[in-house]
Formats: sequence, C-alpha cells, structure tokens
Amino acid sequence: MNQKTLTAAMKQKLGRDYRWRLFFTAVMVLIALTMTVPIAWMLSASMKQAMDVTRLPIKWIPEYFYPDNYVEVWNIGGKARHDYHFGLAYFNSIKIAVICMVGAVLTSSMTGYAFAKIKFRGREAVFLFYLATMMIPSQITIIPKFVMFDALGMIGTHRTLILPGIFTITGTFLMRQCFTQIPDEIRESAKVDGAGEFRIWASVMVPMAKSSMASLAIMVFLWTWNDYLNPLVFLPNWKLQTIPLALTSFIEEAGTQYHLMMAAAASALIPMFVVFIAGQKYLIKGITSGAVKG
Amino acid sequence: MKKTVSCSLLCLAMATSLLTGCGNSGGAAAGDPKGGEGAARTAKNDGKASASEPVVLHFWTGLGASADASHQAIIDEFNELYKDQGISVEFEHFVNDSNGNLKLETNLLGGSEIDLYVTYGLTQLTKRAEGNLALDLSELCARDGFDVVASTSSMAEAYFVNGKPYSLPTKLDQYGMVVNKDMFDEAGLEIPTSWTYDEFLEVCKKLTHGEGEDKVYGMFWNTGQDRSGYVKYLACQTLGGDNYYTEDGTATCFDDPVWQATIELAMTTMKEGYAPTHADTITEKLNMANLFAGEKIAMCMGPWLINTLKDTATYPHDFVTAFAPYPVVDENSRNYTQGGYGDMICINPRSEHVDAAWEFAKFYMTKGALYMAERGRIPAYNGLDKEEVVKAVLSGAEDLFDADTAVSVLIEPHDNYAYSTITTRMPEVQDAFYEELEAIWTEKKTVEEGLADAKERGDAILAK
Amino acid sequence: MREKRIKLSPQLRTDLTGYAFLLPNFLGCLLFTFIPVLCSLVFSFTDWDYTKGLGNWNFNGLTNYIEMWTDDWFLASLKNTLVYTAAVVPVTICLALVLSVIIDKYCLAKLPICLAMLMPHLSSMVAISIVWVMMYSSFGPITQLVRWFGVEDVPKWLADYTWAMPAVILMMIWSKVGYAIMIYTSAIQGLPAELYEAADIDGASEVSKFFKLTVPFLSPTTFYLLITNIISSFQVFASIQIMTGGGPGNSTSVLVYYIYRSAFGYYKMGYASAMAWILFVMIFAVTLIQWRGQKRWVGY
Repeated sequence: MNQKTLTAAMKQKLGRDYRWRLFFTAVMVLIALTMTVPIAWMLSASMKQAMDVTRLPIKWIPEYFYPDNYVEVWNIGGKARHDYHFGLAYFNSIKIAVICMVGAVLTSSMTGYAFAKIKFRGREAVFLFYLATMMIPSQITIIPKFVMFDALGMIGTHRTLILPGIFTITGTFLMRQCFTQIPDEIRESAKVDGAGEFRIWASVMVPMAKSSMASLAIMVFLWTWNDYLNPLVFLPNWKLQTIPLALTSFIEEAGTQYHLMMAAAASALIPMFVVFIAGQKYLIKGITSGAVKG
Repeated sequence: MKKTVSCSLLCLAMATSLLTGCGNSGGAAAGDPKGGEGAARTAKNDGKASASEPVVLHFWTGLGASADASHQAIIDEFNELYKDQGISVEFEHFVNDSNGNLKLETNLLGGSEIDLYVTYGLTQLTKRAEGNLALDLSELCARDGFDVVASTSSMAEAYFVNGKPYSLPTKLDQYGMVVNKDMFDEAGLEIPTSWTYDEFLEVCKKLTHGEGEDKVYGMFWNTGQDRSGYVKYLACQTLGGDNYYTEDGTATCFDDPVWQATIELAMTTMKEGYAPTHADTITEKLNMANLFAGEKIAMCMGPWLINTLKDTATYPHDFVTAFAPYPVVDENSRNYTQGGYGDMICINPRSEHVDAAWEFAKFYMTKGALYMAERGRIPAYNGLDKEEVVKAVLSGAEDLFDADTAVSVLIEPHDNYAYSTITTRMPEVQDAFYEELEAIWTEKKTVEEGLADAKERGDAILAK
Repeated sequence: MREKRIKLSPQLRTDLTGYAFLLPNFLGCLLFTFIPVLCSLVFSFTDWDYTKGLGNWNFNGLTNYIEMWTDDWFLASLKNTLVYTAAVVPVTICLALVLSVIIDKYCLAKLPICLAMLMPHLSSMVAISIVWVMMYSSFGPITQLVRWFGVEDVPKWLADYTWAMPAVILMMIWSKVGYAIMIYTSAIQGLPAELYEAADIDGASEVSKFFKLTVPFLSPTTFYLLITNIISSFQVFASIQIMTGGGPGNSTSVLVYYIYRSAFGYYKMGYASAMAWILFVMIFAVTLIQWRGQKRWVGY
C-alpha cells in the first residue's frame, strides 16, 4: 500500500465528496460532543462548592470558579484541612499502570502470535481454555486470589497488582486476532530468509502489529488505572493506595463530597490523555506494508 | 481430537497439582484461627516482649476524613500517655459500605495487619464474632475488672454475642428529628416535646410552602441513603427493637397495624407534597445535608448531620438547628425510646499486640469518646461529665444549635431503649422488606399489599 | 548432537516453539487466574461463609445448584442479564463498525473525534453514573427531549420499574461504542488500499464496498469485539452497583451484582460460586457456538 497513491486518489475524491464529508463530520462532531459530557460535568463540578454540585438544572459553566477544591485535594502548600495523600496515590497508580502496560504488551504479543501463526498441537484447546477463564466474573476469584497472595506473603505490596496485571487474557486474544489478519506469506517469506520464530516475531511481526499493540497498551493502562476491586482488597495500607481507592476517601457518612471527588477524578484524567495521545500516532498513522509485493 | 484431549488433560493435571499445593499452604496461613499458626504467633510475641520493641497499633475506622481531627486528637493523647510503654497508634480509613467492609474482612482474615477496627451494626458484629474476626473480650474484662455493662448500661448486653462481649460500644445512637428552628418560629410553631403521627402531619403541612425552585418541604425521608427512609425509628418506639420479628422470632410482623400507620404517614407526606417523593430523591440524587443546610427542608431524620452542619465552610448557613423526639402512633404507645449502641470497637484475634490494643480500645471508649462527641457522636460511656459532653457536642457551633433540645433529645439517657435482640437472617429479611417499601414508595403497590407481601417473603426466608 | 536434531520431527519442534512462546504468559495466567477459578469451582459445592476462614465449610453437593432455580432474585437477575446483553452487544458493534468507517472515510477532524469518542472509557464510572442520573432526572435533557416529542407523562426512568433497564442499556451502549470504534479504527488502518481502488475502478458503490470488502476484512476484529463484549456484558457490575443498586426492586439486578451481594452481603460464598459457574457455562456455550461459527464467516 503506497502512501503517495492513496493521497493522490483521495485528493481527487475530496472535490466530489466534499458535501458528504462536511455532513458526516458535523454528525460525528455532534456525537463526539455527547461523549464528552461526563468529562465536562466532571470539570465543572470540580470548580463548584459542595452544595452546588448536584443542584438541578445543571449549570454547566459555574457562576464562579472555585479552585479551592484542587488545593484541598492536592494539599497544595499544605493549606488543605485534611491531607488526602492524593499525590502519593497518583504516583502509585502511574507506577503500576506503566509496568503492567509494558509487560502485558510484551507477553500478550508473544502469546498472541504463537496462537495465531505457530501451528502447535493443542493450540485450539489451550486457547479455548484461556477464553474460558475470562468468563468467570473476577469478583468470585478475589477470595482465592487473596488466600494465594497471603500464602506467598505478597499482601500489602504492589506485586499483587503488577504480577497478575502483566498477564492478560483479553490482551492475548486481541493480539491473536491482530496477527491472524497478517497474511501468512509474510511469515513464509521471512522463514525462507532463514529467520527463527523468535526473530520473525521480533523483527517482522511486531512492527506490523504496532497499531493493535498501541490499542492494547492503551487498554491495559486504562484498565489498570481504573481498577478498583483488586487494590481495594489487596492493598490495606494507605501508603500503597491507587487513585480509585483514593477517590473513596471523599465518601463520608453524610454523603459523598462530589466537589472534591471530581477535582481528584479530573486530575486523574491527565495521564490517560497523555497515554492516549502518545498511542494515537500508531493508531491513526497506520502501518506500512508492501513487504509482500516487495 | 486426540491431540486436543491430551493437551487439555495435561493442562488440567498441572493446574490441579498446583491447586493442592497452593491450597494447603494457603489454608494454614490464612484460615486456621487456633493451632499451628496461633502457636507460632505466641512464640513471636514472647520474643518481642522481652526485646520491648515499640509497638505500633493499626486502627481501622469507617469514618471519613471529616472525623480525622477527633481521631488524631485521641491518638495524640494516647500516644503521649503510653510513650513510656512504647505503644503508639496509627489509623486507616475504610468506607463503611459493602465494598469497604469486604476490604476490612478480607484483611482481617489474612493476618495481623489490623489490630483494632470499628463495627457498625449488630448484624455485622454477630457475623464477625461467629467468624472469629473479633476477639472475645471476656477474659480481658475479667483480668482488668472492666465491666462493660456497668460502664454503659444494661443495653450493652444486647450487643453481646452468645452472652460474651466481642466489642466495646463507644457511641450512643439516640436520634430524633432534626428541625430548622427558624422555620418553626416563622410558622409560629413550638418545638414539640412529644407528638403523634397526626400532629406531625399537621406540622409538615404548615411548614411546606413555595413552588418549583423555591419550594420548601416540611419533611425529607432520605430514602436515597436508606431505602426505608428510616421509618423503623418511628415504629420501634411502639414495637420495640425487634420490630421485624414476632416475639419468638420465627416469623415477621410486617402486618402489624403500627407498621401500617407508619408507612401510611410517610406515604401521605410524599403524596400530598409535604416531602420529596422517593422517585424525586433517586432521580435527582437529593442529599440531606445539602437540602437542610440549603433551607429547602424544615425537618429530617438524622442527627448524624451535626458534624456536617458544623462545617460551615462547605455548608454555609446561619439558622438554628433544634431537635425533637420522633412522633408516635398515638399518646399511649410510647413504649420505648429509639436508641442503640454503635461504633463498636473490636480487636482482631490475629493481632500480635492484643494487650496493647485492649489499652487503646478502653481509652477510645472512655476518654476518647469526649473527642468523638465533638463530631456529634454521643458517648456510650456513662462515666463522663454531662456538661463536658454537651460542651463538646456543641463546640465550635454554639449559636447554630439549640442546646436545650440537643440535651433532652440526644444526650439525656433513657432506660427503655428499643434495641434488637433477634438477628436471624437479618440481611435477607431486611432486603425483602426494603424492596416492598420501594414498591410502596413508587406507588406500584398500596401500603396494605406491600406490607402483606413483605410478611409473606419474610416468613418464607425465616422458614428456610 | 546433530543426530538428535534430525530426530525431532518438524511438528514436535513447532510444538515446542509454540509452548515456549506461551510459557511466561501461561505460567502467570495459571497462577493468577486458572487456579483461583478452580478454587471457586470447589467452593460452589460447599456452603462456605468466607468470614469463617478457609476450610470451615461443609460439602453439600449440588444443593447450591438446585436452590438457585427457585430463587426469585436469581431468576430476575438472569433475565435482566440476557436482555441486557442481547440489547447492548449487537447495537454497539454495528454502530461502532458503521461509525468508524464513516470517520475513516469522511471525517476531517479525525484525531479530536477519536479522542472524544474514547472519553467515556477514560472517565471514572462514578462521574458517568452521576451525569447520567442527572440526565435522566425530571430536569434533565432526556426528559425534555421526550416531552418535546409530545409525550406528556414522561416516565421516571431510573426510578421506574419498566424503564430503568432500558435507561441503563442506553447508557452502556453510549459508553462502550467509543472503545469499539478505537479498535475498529486501528484495524481499518491495515486494510489493503489496492482492493478498494480496484473496486472503485470497477464502479462499485460505497454501500457494496462496505459490505463486500470492509465487513469481511474486519471480521476477525468483529469476532474479537463480539466475544469480548458478550463476555463483559454478561459480567456487567460496577455501573449497576453505582447507578441503580439493582433497583427499583430487582428490575436492574444482573447476575454478577447478585453474585456479589450473595457472597459479600449475605456471606453465602458457596452459593455465589455456584451461580458464577452457571454464568460461566452460559458464556462458554455462547462463545463455543461463535467459535465454531467463526470458521464460516471470519477470515478471508
């Protein structure tokens, strides 16, 4: 697929389809705007005082800006009334998410490739076994996992989150599908060139799968970032807590302090944006092929 | 086919062998309360005692950051007092909802990370006592001559499990109606010291005015926070603490005319517009603190608002809050006073510092309770000077609360509390009851139908 | 040494390579997923209350499995889960497929649109739930919209027994579409442009190009999304817990919500595990059917 011919052909089309383009862009922008409503509400709520947050009808742009919520949450300059240790939770979340992201992409792409291309015996059965374990709701395995981690002496460390996080079955599945889509001829031609499986995977397959690997990286980062149940049960000490746990410290007997919680949640969006934008390069730009045509 | 079968068998074999291996060690480490692990723990304790290393106790509380000031004050004083003995305390939060309690209980099961924690509710206390997640305190009480009943009242026995104390009650849950005194004054009404349902309804009517955004409701049942709208606080004044059950506890009593009258009362206020409907409460996420402080409601159910109302930075207001006892069905039916014990402090049987934890538990219940009173939590301990307690409760907001009614309704102890003694399958019975209440609140069923169905379902659960 | 190498058949070598690639992932999954899952199977044949500690249970055979079919809450949760899955999954996938093709072909501001589409996935479930509760309130835009169409007696959505589930379904479709679009978009990048150009030269219409080229090419991705969305829809939990708590009544209670409540609210871990395995059997059956079916419609 030659990038240059694509653009030339597209330019020809632009003229004819101009109206369609505008129409669809408008429609999609409208839909996209509805998708941003919760984030917009989150930001607006984070700038309001407690009693105004749930007041109806919703005032999207508050009449005043109240950045004190952020001061309270982050304990900027030590001025907050209570120290929620949010910065620490932030750091913990980033550390765990990044490690899981890198590890998961590596192990999933290796395994996914094996399932897709290497025709070893028992391939189907083992893969179905993998899929099957995805089907048990994770809530029910919390207690056995807890017992196991306790036996291994891991409770109260981040290992309880990182080690399982590096091995993801959904990720393996995604990578398998991605590699299935790559034509067999590419692998054959690499083999003819004398490469072993590992080299084929590392030098040929991985570059072709960048797009899906980027999706996977984003997916694992998001999933680890927002994971609530696992840190809840496996991290008893506040020094280890992650952001979803830290958000619950705004829940009081009298009700939830939404204005503070939303300020915290809004702050928590930033790394996700960063990861997504970084991964975007691979998602949209696409892959270059042509190795087959040569 | 053969390949698939052989492969699956191989996987299964590997898994099973690992399972048995892991299972055994897991069992020994986590679950066994006595036996091997206990012995190992005692050995460790002996070693530690002789070396007299500093002991750090971990105390888990279900109250949020708004109670931090009090907790920190208690801990600071305790740390100071016990500095020579090398005991200090650190506290940790957990959210008192189903997720948070899951966190607490799994960590109690797991090991010695937690030394002391607070249980909120008799059902949970019973569960934890029976599951060996709370230490039986009778030995420690006997050793130190500490009598739980004498320090509080005979009601403390209701919170024993199988006749033994598994916790120290620290808070008296004596509640009443929270009312906006300024609104009562404007309407020319006296704060009632005793009223019936009918009189209550009249007051609701008089206090409701306005339309649309300016509407002020007479009453708010807070069915969003608790689906029953806390109606059992009204009913228990006549039916007693076991208001779900018949006398022998084998069936439910939801068909009692008192329940009928109570639910009717709540329904009438909602239907006539004196109180926000359940649907409105849910769909608009109405919050009691916001509504009361924002002067949108004249009365509501829960004095756990005291701590919130003191926070004038978050909830600015300047009216005076007063308290009134809950209304009863009729003049002759005031058999009991709504009340119970709460904030029960328990010790983890797997803790490595049981003695030190016991010292802190006693401290929290006795002297520490005064600090908690500043958060609006009335002490269960009867050894504190009443004047001190009143001062603590009103501290920082003397002009926002009516002292007389606060004392008479919330602090003055009574001797006829309606506390529960029967807890057979309480979570399931309560859930069935709450579901029927929801059907009633949303007018899907009439009061009679809903209560009849509740009785049927409750009886079926108890029969199993 | 050389002789040994010759003796290894190519198939065996392939097998060993395959399993070598598999090993790290397999060991990790074995320890942290497979074994806890098998434990839960064991629990399902007991009456375990987890607060009593490990080992303090009685085996009661199939009691749990039989009891659940007379349990109102279980049956309601089962029905709700099936309805929910049948509504959310097809709509999400079809919508995502169409929208991502449109975005790729026509839209000008691709990056901002894709970024915006992913917003629900990035937002905290708490924020999404609160916003949707407000949207569904009597002052909210959805009620206003329905009124604008002339309907007088607008239902109370989340407080209404019949409308609560559709309301939750709409919210879930809205929040899942973005992620599916992201997956499809990355897959679309890999489509061979030459075939499209060839089709253009042959004078094919947009619609026929979509159905004859795009859909088959994207079928592995569709398969992935179908399976993962079905599995995740059968397992929906957090949004229900936060938005409706299973109510009103049990009209929005789904299986995992009831499992969670049974295990950690009523302390009936054995019963909850049994229900979890019934859920598993259902999902497995559905997935197996799709798996066998994939040979026919996936791949090109």
